[in-house]
Amino acid sequence: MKTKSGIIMCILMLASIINMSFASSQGYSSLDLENIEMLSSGENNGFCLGTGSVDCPKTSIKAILVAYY
Amino acid sequence: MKSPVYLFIVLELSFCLTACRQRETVFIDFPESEPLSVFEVRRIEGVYMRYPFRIRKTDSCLYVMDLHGSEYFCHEFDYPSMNYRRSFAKRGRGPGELSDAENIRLSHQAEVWILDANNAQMNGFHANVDSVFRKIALDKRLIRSLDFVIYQDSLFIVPDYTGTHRFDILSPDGTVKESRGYIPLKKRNKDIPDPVYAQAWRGFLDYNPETGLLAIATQLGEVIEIYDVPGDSLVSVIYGKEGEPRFQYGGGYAIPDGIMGYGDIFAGKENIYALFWGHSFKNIRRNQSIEGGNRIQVFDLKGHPVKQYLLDRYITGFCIDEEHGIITGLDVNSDQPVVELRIEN
Repeated sequence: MKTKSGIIMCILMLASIINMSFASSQGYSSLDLENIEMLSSGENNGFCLGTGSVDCPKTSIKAILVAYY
Repeated sequence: MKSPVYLFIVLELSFCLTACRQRETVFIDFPESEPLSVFEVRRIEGVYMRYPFRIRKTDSCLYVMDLHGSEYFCHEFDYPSMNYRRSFAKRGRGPGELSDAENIRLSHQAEVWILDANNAQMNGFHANVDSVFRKIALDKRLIRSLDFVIYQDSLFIVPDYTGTHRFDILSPDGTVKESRGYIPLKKRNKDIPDPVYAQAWRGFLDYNPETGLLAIATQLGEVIEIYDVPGDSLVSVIYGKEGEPRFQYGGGYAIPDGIMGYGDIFAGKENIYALFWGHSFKNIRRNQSIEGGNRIQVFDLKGHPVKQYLLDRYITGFCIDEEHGIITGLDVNSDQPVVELRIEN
């Protein structure tokens, strides 16, 4: 039982590590980093990336991507 | 005795059927797809544009609006020679300068109007004059207008950012004259404020004064709405297979999800043309996407699908000369963005 729990924990940790490393290699380096802006700093944070045509909520820029955390 | 009753029932049924036909909901299925290749690149020399986004053309003049212009938002060229004439609509915080440019429109009086959403102002320029001749402060109740068309020569129509209506007709002084329509939501979550829906349903507009039709294409999802503005009626709502705009509700805002839908729309005399991107935000996050759309969907004036053009370029904005069968588009991925494609008349 303990072994099974341990295996599950390891799988979950491994999945988290893989997910984090994937997220860090999303190719953001090719985007225009001058346009990175932070949204509200409350419970919900998001940011706008790139030079695009999506109206970034709360800020006054146009971005390629509005991400949500 | 029974005849008047039957007559009344028949008349009532006829009335109801007519009313139903006035608002059709059509699902996009194009009977024909036609590939189009660029036949002419209109070369520009000496002008750098960071993100050419909107294009307007007359017989002798072409305007390109740069959404991310570092110094000027608008550039004017002779057409078809593409000889540079001038740049105007200077970016800045000084008098007569603009913080932002959402769209550019040409009036019948040869004026050039540019919407500055950040300053909530319409800016009017005369031909050959670089300074603003008129600034119109927009009604504060509008919150943030992200597109516009000129209506009846002196009025403006803007999308409604409050979410309580679909669009607003503005008086020449920028105040709201009338609000019309509703976001065609199939289901509304009452815990999500109206402005959030307005953000998600952000639409690009075009209006044709000869047909009286206002066409709206959503930037997220795949929905087109056609309104008869003089007749004050909704003509059609057209859903593509991607359906309604998808978003996440976070921090009081609509965070785009699903797909980038439409990027521009043109209301012609014969048809309505909509530039469709169709890139998923999933692919955009993975940097597996390209800016612009390569599909122009064509609808008749009732909103019925006619055909779809498949372009060999990805463009961000376009205009159409229906008489001569020419699409002039902006390829933001190219150093020479102004391209032309030929369509059948």
